[in-house]
Amino acid sequence: MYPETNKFLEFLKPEYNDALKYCKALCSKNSAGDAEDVFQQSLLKALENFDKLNDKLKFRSWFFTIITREFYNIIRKSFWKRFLRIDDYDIAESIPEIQEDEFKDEKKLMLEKALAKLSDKERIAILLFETGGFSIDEIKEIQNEKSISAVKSRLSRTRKKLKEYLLKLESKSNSGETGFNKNKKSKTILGVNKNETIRLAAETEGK
Amino acid sequence: MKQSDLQPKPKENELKEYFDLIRNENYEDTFPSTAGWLRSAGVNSLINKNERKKFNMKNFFAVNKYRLAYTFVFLAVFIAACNYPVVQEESAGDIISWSVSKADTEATQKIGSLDWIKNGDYNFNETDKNGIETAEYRYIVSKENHGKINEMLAQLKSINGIENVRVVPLNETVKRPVYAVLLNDVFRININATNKSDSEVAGEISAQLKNAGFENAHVTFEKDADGKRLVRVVIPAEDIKKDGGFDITVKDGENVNRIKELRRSGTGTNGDRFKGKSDQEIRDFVREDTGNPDLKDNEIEIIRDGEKVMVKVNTKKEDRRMKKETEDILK
Repeated sequence: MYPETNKFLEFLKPEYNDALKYCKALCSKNSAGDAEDVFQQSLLKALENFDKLNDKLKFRSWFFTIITREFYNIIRKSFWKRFLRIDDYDIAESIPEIQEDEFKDEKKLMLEKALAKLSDKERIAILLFETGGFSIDEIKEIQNEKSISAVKSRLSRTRKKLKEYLLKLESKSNSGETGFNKNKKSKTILGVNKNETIRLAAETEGK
Repeated sequence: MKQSDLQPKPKENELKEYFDLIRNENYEDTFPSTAGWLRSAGVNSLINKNERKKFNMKNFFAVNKYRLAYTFVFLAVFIAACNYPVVQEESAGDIISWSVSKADTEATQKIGSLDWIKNGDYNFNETDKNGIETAEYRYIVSKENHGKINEMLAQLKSINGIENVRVVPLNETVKRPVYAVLLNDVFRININATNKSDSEVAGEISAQLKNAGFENAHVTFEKDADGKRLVRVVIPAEDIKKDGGFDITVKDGENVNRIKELRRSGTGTNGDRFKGKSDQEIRDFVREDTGNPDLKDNEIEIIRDGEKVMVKVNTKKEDRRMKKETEDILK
């Protein structure tokens, strides 16, 4: 165990919930496994470098910066995974599985879909602002931007895009195109193959 | 009216409602298990941190074959880069030149008694300057003896009657593949003879040939029909090593002379290869031997002098004159 693990956990505890939510929303375009990978690697990296953080009051923005960088790393790695099976020798023990709600709110699914349509930079900016509660200046630092105006215009652009995406999704939902049902909680069912997925879905519907 | 104007727009607070769904998520109950994992993973991470480099290297090739392929490509590029020709400036030695009146027998005797003159390689020209017969000496100092130049100059200056003592460094421009630069096994010389006298260019070529192991090379000059200077280098066949050969390019103003030795051995078992052969048979042999079937008869000159047969090949290509010379001695 690292000598400062307990101290690290003390600092982590108040930020844990927000950090995990940020991580999950950030990976809305990717699989749940990717979100866990990002969070796991971020925790380890933060623990390894905790002694180098001089101003512990900046723990929150420091940890979110690590998450953001790890997100980029994992996303890039995901691309290369198609060619190189570099996870074959990944010896790190995995983080305990963090269960998702089996039944997601329709609005939440819509938001996830809309977030997935944004670019990585846009998604990071809006999530840091809306869910992380960071100021524009802090976002500028986390995103390594040169000016505040760049972040401001990005946020404004992203809000506009999100509204448009959500509007489209809402109108599709009302017309029944998306499969979102306002009255029922939707459930994602996945079998090992297409046939099994159909069978499981049929069983769930009681057919 | 655009379609978007007809659709209801989500208000600002509606976007907030969407984000509230994320804000209201609660994973705090998972913190204890994550903390437990972090404690145990932290131990492994600390151990693995030290071994990570070693582990990565150990598994570098084992993990996937693509990396092996990348490494191979890198090596191939490296080898190709090694074959890229590079131009090098190299010191080939120095020439010490001086002059002395031919009538000054005392000085001439003293010069002749110097050890390095007795054992060294020098030549002299006799000139008539204002009615005074003068001997101009040129002594080639190999690069191995470069350190002895000051001693030689001191000895020369101590002799009364010696004038115009000069030291001219000989530099050669050599173009070689990178690997040959390392191994130094390819012998090419490029000399700029523009505005240099015959004896200066001859001195430079002789010094560089000597440096390369051609001790008895003889350099002379000819003029062609256009009055252009052609360099002629004669190297006794026995001096040319089996794996030797040379390629000399002399730039002389607009004119470029290229001399390339193709025959590598002219004695021994090959010595009688022209014996009893007609001129036509020799020409066919030369065409095959040079790998140039397009050589015309008049480009292959055969000179018979008793048992000695000289074969000279002259080709002209645009502004570049290539002179290939083959010498063979029948015994």
